[in-house]
Amino acid sequence: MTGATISPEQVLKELDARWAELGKEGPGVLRACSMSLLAVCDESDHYASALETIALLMPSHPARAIMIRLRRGESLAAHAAAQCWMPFGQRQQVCSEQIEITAAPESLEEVASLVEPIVAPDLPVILWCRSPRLIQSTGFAHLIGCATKLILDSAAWAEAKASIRQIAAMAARGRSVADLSWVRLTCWREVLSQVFENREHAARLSDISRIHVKYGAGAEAAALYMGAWLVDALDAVHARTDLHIEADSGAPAAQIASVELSGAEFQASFTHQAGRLVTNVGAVSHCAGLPPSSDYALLREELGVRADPVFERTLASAARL
Amino acid sequence: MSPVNPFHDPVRFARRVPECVVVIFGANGDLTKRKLMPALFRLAYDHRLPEGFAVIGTSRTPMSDDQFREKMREAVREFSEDTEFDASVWEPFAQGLFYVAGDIADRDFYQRLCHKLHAIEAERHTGGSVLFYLSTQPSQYGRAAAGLGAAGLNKGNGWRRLVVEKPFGHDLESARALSAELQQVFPESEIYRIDHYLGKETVQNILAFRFGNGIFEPLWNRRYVNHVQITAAESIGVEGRGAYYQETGALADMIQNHLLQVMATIAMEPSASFRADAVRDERSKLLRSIKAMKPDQMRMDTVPGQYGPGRIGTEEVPGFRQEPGVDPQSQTNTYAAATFFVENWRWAGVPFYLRTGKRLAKRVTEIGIQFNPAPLAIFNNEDTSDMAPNLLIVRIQPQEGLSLKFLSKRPGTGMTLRPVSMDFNYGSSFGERLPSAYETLLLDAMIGDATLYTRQDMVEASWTVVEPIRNLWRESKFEFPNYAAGSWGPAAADEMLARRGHIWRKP
Repeated sequence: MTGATISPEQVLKELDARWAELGKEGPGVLRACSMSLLAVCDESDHYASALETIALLMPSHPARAIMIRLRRGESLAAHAAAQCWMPFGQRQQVCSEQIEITAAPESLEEVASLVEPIVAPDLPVILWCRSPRLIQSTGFAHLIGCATKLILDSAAWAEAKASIRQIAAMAARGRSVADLSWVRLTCWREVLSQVFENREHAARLSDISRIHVKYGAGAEAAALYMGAWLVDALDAVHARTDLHIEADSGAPAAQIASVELSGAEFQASFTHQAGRLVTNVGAVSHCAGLPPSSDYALLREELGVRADPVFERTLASAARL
Repeated sequence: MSPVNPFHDPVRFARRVPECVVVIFGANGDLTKRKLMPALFRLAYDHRLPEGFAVIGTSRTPMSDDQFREKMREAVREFSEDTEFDASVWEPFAQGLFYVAGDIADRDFYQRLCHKLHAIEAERHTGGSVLFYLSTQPSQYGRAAAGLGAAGLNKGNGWRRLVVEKPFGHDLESARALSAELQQVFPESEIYRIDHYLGKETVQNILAFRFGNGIFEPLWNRRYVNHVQITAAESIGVEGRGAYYQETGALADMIQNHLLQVMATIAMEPSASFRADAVRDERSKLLRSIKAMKPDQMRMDTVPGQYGPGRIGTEEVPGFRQEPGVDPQSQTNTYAAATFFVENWRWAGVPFYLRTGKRLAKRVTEIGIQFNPAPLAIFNNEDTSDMAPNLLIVRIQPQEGLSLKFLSKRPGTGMTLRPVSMDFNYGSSFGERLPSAYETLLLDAMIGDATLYTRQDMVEASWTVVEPIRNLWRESKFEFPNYAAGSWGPAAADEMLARRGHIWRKP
């Protein structure tokens, strides 16, 4: 479907036709849908990788996926398809719906009016956008209007502090928003938390007076989140801390390089070394694998989260740093 | 009390397993091979286990660590039903598998186990937390717990928990005695009595369905519910376990634990929170509210059965008494049905029909909640034979899901009504694989969440209901076999429902 003839009804009709075709095949298929997932990409984005990420997500978060591809000179077009997979050991295919929309960047408002009626009714609508330029565009506001939650990645933004402030401003206006820079920290935060499951270490929490976070290129936003989260958590146990956040040119790009917590007779360090997270607390050293932080892995985690009060607090604190 | 960890994030970390060791007693047995090891491997496959995680298998059979690993590898390959065997997951997982041979009655065995635990703790930084899983003969539970206590293994740097498999005693007295033995070594809060039915997704979903939605709970009472049927049917026979089974029977094997727990989940009052003890308190209260039967009532409201030879599909199958190892005059019940009433304001007068059996027509576990019909039939239908009132079906296995049956107008002229079904299938909404009950329950035990585990008072309440029936059946002589393999059970079970104007559903 292309050009001026596209209507939401046509897209939904095409979708129905796909299901009718699939229904004729063998034992039929299971139609799975727990949300609408909108992914919007402009020319700065690698569309094929976004498409692949969405495809990978479907078995764990089946959705009506609506892929929006914006390219200069492109006229509005839409195409509906089904994505099916055979769960291991099962005899029936599970399918989810996929709608691809292509349009010129300036038609984003028009795209939004097409998208709104074709999202799956009564289910959450998640909008994932990787491009900072798109988020700044006026048309994007229309697309946000269709979404119940917005997923961004501040790592892609040039200005980390500005990006966090903008995300915090959206959250302050009541918009449900998530940042993949925060999701990248889950493994770090969990390892750090586990250290203080130990009663002896937990008893030393209030002794901590200094937090030092180092980060590689492109991870400043993550470092700000990490710093804000640590300060907030230690504040809850009445530890007064100084926070130092520092770029480390020798550290791997887009990664936190190290976190150090120190104070009177207590020191804990967490260091990224060749894809592993090395923890040193006193004389004891421990190593944990850092899981891959692909868009797929990050989105898979984030789509499983409904409300994240820890992030909301941390975001507000990070915006003040 | 431990200090609060300000870094804990319940949204993102809650369901991750802390560093620990699982010690399996009876690691050479069927349960380990068929259920426990595939479940642990799946947790590893899903990256749910921490890096230092380790398993120590124990049994009397002498074996090296490597031989144990090889045996478990074969088991995982054979019994992981819906998990691809991924060698890149297996290799690091297998490095955490160890073995200690020994007899539960031998003191030295616990010393060897203790040394192995210390070595693993030092090498893999497991933090001293240990989950002891008793997958042995039930008669060994007390001895194993005592051995652990005598060797000081019930205490350590981290937590120490004990998981026991059913049966939890063979009557009320032995259940109490077993609890007393276990509690001498482990506090009740660290004893996890596993009932794998409660780990099934659909059983857990009953709680979500009832207490996460506002529209069902107002109907969930004697005013709207006519009766409830709980069916757990198996098409298989005793599968070589005839000698064991004839000592137990369907009533003790299924109704005393699984089905009464399911009934408690269906009928319990809403708990104040989803904390383990809040949920278990309500389940326990419901079990204690089940009306105790007098002998006369038991004769009317309970039905034992035993299968005779028959046909399932195209296969001719033997009767129970023809099974290997079974006494040709056996009085064991391979089928049990009972009508229970709950003595509380919500359920007074509503029959709960429970049935379970082997060699029934098909394998299915379902709960049917039959609602009352509309108070006035305003539609003039000539054929009212299929004008069944509303029925809510909770399918536990297979094809987990929910169905709501209601009447709808048949397309065309005139007002002809026909029953239709509105189905929710887990697969179609989530598309995701459902974790096995053992994955869920092992994960819960390692995390320290006992919500889906049975507490001592619940075990005792169940035995209080079942024991009088069991005693009466033992004292009686029945005309067995009374149902053919491949049928839906004895005619007496149909009569039991017919007396109240009801019929068994055919799932």
